[in-house]
Amino acid sequence: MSEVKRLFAEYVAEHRAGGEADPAAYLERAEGTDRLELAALIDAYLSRAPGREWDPQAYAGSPEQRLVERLVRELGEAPEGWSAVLVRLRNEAKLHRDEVVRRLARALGLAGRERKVAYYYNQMEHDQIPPEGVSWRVLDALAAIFGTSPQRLRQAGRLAGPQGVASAPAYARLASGDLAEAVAQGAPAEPGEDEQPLDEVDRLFTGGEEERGE
Amino acid sequence: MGDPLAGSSVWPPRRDQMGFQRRYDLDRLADERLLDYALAARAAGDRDTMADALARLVFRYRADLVRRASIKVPRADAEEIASETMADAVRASFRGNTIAAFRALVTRILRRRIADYYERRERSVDEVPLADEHGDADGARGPDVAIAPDETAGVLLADLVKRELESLSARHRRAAELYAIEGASAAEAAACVNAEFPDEDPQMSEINVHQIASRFREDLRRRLAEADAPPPARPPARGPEPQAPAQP
Repeated sequence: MSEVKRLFAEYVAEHRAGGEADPAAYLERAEGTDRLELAALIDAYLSRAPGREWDPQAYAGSPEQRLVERLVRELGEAPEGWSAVLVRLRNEAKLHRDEVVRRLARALGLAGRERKVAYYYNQMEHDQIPPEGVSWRVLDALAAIFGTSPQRLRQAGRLAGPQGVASAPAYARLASGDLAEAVAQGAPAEPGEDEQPLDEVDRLFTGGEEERGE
Repeated sequence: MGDPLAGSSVWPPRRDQMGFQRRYDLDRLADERLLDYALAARAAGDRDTMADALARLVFRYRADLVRRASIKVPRADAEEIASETMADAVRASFRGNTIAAFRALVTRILRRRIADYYERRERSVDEVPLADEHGDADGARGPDVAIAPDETAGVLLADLVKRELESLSARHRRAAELYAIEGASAAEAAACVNAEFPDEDPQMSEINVHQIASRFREDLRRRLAEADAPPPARPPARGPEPQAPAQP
């Protein structure tokens, strides 16, 4: 039996027995191409070895436990999408949705296009629009209205993502106020629905993120 | 790893089912199911159950990741690389990525982190004074990696093994995997291959397994030696044309 084969067999036996199986202790006993071959075999073996059986005593106080505690702190809160973040910010700002839409349309230079802006803004408040389609201009304007950062809004959109695109009737059920009614009645078609070319409002809400550092 | 919930029509479980699952079944859940479970627990606001599920997953693989990383980097760095590899893999699944094969994802991340480690190290070499400028040239520190830095330093050696295996026929590949890598005996490997390829004639013998494994190792050594060879030296930069000696 070659030296590499013998060392590898010893390594596998120690690993299977639950020993420390530190590769370094084996690799220092070989040199040159033998060492490289042994390292490759150990790496390949470990990449396929069944994981450790659960052992609560070994877990207690281990680096694994510290890592899990860190991950739970970091990831433990369910992500909040636009449906939660925008509504909370709007409530904190004590603004009715119609007022947000008016300010948003004005900030975007879209005065007179409030109906369509309302349609899209409502989709954002219900996580019903692909977040990657909403431009930074829209997020900048909303951030200024709510006193937050556009990056935070972008992040919230990415975390939750859309649940599906609302239809105009769905919008009418969800929204309220004059603008909602206007949207429901003369609902601007959803992009692509009536095969109209995309206008500026469509592009701002569905055209995608421009290049921008975050 | 056995999955007692495979084929279950109820997944993710309802919150009121989680206590039962936590006590009896989590240890045997497949990796991807553990992730689903942790996500369902988070959505239900049950951080304890989320931690229980992640504990199984992290405990299952982190120690072997430390071992794998320690083949390439100093032990202390290997600990960090292993932890961050696991953390990245868990984060990826919690950020909405669909994880089809958790272990494959972990290996991809490990590969990237080791490559990054060497890139950073290479970048810093030019910025850090030489060891003897710090009075550290007495050799007291010793080598800081399990394998001395070489041409394969930033490469996962398992990748080279995989490439060699992929050059074999399916039947020979299986024999080499079982006998040369996974530690099965020649008899076990032959029986397993014959069970997986029942229509092959003749059936594989123990002697065949030895021969296949022997050739596999020879070819692997050749591949490793090639990968380890320094790249061909660049041709020297063209300098000014040599001047003819001045005439006296």
